[in-house]
Amino acid sequence: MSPQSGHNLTQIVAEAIVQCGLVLEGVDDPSDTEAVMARSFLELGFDSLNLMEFCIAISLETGIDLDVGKLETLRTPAAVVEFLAKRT
Amino acid sequence: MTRAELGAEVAGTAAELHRLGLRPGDVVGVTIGDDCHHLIVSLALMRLGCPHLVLPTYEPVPYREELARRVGAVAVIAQSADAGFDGIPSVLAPELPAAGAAAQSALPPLPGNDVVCTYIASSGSTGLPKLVPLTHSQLFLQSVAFHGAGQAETYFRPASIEFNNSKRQRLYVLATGGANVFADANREQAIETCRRHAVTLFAPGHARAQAMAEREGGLTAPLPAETELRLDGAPVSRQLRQGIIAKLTARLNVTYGATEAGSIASAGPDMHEIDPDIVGLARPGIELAVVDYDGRPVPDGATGDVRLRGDAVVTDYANDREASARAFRNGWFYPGDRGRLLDGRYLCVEGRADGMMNLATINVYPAEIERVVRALPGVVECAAFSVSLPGFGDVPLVAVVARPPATEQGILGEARAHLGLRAPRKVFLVDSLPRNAVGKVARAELADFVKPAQR
Repeated sequence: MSPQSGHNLTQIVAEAIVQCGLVLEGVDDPSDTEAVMARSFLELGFDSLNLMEFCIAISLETGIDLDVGKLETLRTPAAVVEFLAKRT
Repeated sequence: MTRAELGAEVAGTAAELHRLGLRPGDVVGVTIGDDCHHLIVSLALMRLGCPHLVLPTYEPVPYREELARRVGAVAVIAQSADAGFDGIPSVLAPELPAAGAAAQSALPPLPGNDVVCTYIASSGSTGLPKLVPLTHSQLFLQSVAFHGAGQAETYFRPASIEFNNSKRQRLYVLATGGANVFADANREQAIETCRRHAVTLFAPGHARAQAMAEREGGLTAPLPAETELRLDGAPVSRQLRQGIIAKLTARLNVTYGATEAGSIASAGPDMHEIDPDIVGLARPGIELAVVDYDGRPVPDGATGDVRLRGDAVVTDYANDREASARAFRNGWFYPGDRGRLLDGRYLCVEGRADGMMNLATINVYPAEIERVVRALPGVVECAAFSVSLPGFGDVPLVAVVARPPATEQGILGEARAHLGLRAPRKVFLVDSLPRNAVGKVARAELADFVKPAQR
């Protein structure tokens, strides 16, 4: 995959969240990407299984390894986008 | 909760389930996500002599229904009244505390040691889950093999009791007089939980252990001195072993086991440098061998099929003669792993003989994915394979030759609905599958479908 723009990475992260299949908590409109990106995974209602699925989806799509422990540091989807941007 | 309090809860729950009509020999499904409630209901069923099977709440309902039917369940115990299972009566799990109910109903006599206490679903190489029947005596013998005689552990595994290893090991702990700690925790909380509850046996799972051992930006606090960290269920790389020893504890134990046998071998702190694949010495009561295709022991250090026997090992699968004949031969159990014996006693496991994937300790067979996908409208043929991701193991994928109306998203959705966590995470629609000279799918070439960026 060619180097991805910030927009593409945001899209990849947003789609990975959708693939986790959970009902997002703490946001009025789940399609409001900006609001979703700013919330922490904990606030969005991710449990350990959802986090695993999210990491797998990101790793498969980008080729960049992401583990659940890393998400404890990054905390929000927006931070994941920044993390990915530094590695593409 | 003390053992006396637990005993009262179990007796009360058993009395209530007996009052609701369950009788010794009735096979029952349990679909309860709450760890403590699940454990107490399971123990109550074991007290009644009702073999039970976990129907995990995280799995799709059709999958749970199929499991319940295959085991012949007469009822399913659920935590909510709206848990609907087609054709199988649901029983609402008795609310806790249920201790008072014990006095209101006479319980049947204790079940015999050779009575099946639980069926455990294990992914099947033929596409259907294998059902492993475990008797009370086998469960106890597996408990002793897991802990060693006389060991009463305080055990902490931050994973749902609905997972196979998690459930069995919590039962092992109780059978040998130990205590279970239930807590969901991130890595720092996990260490604090070990300290606060004087945990002697911590089983974090591979992904969590890796996250704890690879922390960036500083050292992770080490585990308390009395805590042993045990990893089981999947191969453990030398790198992960070294990371754990450097950052968490020198008391690392890598265990090799199977649902059919419990703990088979374990490698303690003094063994990790012997060989990258080492899983250690046979556990008490287990006889190990590595043999060739004809069942003859191979020379020391040579690779062959692992086989084992012992009183704790089950002797067949429920309602599956084909799988039983393949795995249980001449008094030995063949787990399907390739391995070596060093110095005639140290077992090293190199991998599976049958293409089984191991996703975060969940066994997934290509055949079970292919069986579901092949049945979808428009699918001509398919082949499941995996890519390895650090911390998660083998991530299942599937290559599909398909016509309309099949779509990538449609296949993903249906696979998810039928297979739950064992579903492929990505579908590759392809013109044809790679085949070898005799026409068999060339599985080694399937990984070429994955773009470099996707590994």
